[in-house]
Amino acid sequence: MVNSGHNRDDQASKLGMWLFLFTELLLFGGLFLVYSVYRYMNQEAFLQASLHLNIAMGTVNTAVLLTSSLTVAMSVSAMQKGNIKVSINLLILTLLFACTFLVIKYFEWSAKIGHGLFPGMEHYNMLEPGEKLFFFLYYFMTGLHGLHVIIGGIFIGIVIRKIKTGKVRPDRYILLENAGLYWHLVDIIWIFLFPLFYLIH
Amino acid sequence: MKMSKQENEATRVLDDDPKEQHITSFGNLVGIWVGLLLLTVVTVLISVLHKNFIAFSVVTALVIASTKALAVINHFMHLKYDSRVLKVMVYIVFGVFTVLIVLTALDYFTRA
Repeated sequence: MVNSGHNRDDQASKLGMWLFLFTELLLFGGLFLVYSVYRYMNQEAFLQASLHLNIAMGTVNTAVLLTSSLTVAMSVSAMQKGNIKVSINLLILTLLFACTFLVIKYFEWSAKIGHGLFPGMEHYNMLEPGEKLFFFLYYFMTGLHGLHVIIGGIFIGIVIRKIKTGKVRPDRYILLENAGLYWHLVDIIWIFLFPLFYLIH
Repeated sequence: MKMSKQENEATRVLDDDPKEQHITSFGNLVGIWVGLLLLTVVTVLISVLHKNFIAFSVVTALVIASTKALAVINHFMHLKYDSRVLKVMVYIVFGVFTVLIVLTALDYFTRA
C-alpha cells in the first residue's frame, strides 16, 4: 500500500476516544458507588437533605442537556452530508445550551450557598453528619460534572474554529465526532446524577 | 468528497465494515430526543407522585436512566452503526462496570 507520508486512521481515533471515556466512566462510577453506600448507611439524613434540592431546576437542566446532545448529533450528520454552515450553527447552538446549563447551575448553587449550605458555612455546620455527607457529595459530583461541561464546551469551541479553517471538513470530521462523543458522555453522567440526587425520595 | 483514489482504497481496507458510512437522519435523532424527554417527564412524575414507595422509586429511576443512556449511546453516539470491535468493547466495559457496582452493593447491603 502506498503511504502518502501521514497516516490517518479514523477508526483508531474513535477507539482511543472511547478508551478515554471508559476512564471517565470509572471516575464517576466510583463516586456513584460512594454515594450509594453512604446513602444506604444514612437513609433518613440523605432523604431530608435531598428535599432541599430544586426539582424544577434539575428537570429544566436535564432537558437543556438532552437538547444540546441532540444538536451535537445533528451537527455530525450535517457535516457528513456536507452542510458545513448548518454544522457550525448547530455547534454554536450547543454552546448556548451549555452556557444555559451552567447559568442554571450557578443559580442553584448560589441559592444554597445563600442559605449557608456549603461546607464550612454556619447552616451546614449545624446539619447532622449524614446530611453533611449528602451536600458534600452533591457539590463534588455536580461540580465535577460542571467542570466536564466547561471542558466539553471548550472542545466544541476548538472544533468550530477548525471547521472554519478547513481542518475539519466533510471528508475529515473525526475530531467533530470525538467532541460529540465526549459531550454525550457528559450528558449520560447527568442522566444518572439527576435522579440520584434530585428524585429518589 | 475530495478523497484521492489511494486514500479511498486505504479507508476501505481499514474499515472492517464494508457498508457505506451510515448517516443518522435529523428525523431519527429528533425522535430519540423526544423519547428521552418523555422518559425524563416520566421519572420526575413517578418521583413527585410516589414519595412513599422508596424501593419502587429507586429501581424505576435507575431502569429509566439506563434506558436513556442506552438510547444516547446507540443513536447519538452512533454505536449502533459502528464497527463490531467498538460495540464489543463498549458492551464488555459497561458489563464489567455493572458487575462491579452490583457486587459492591451486595456486599454493603447484606452486612449484618
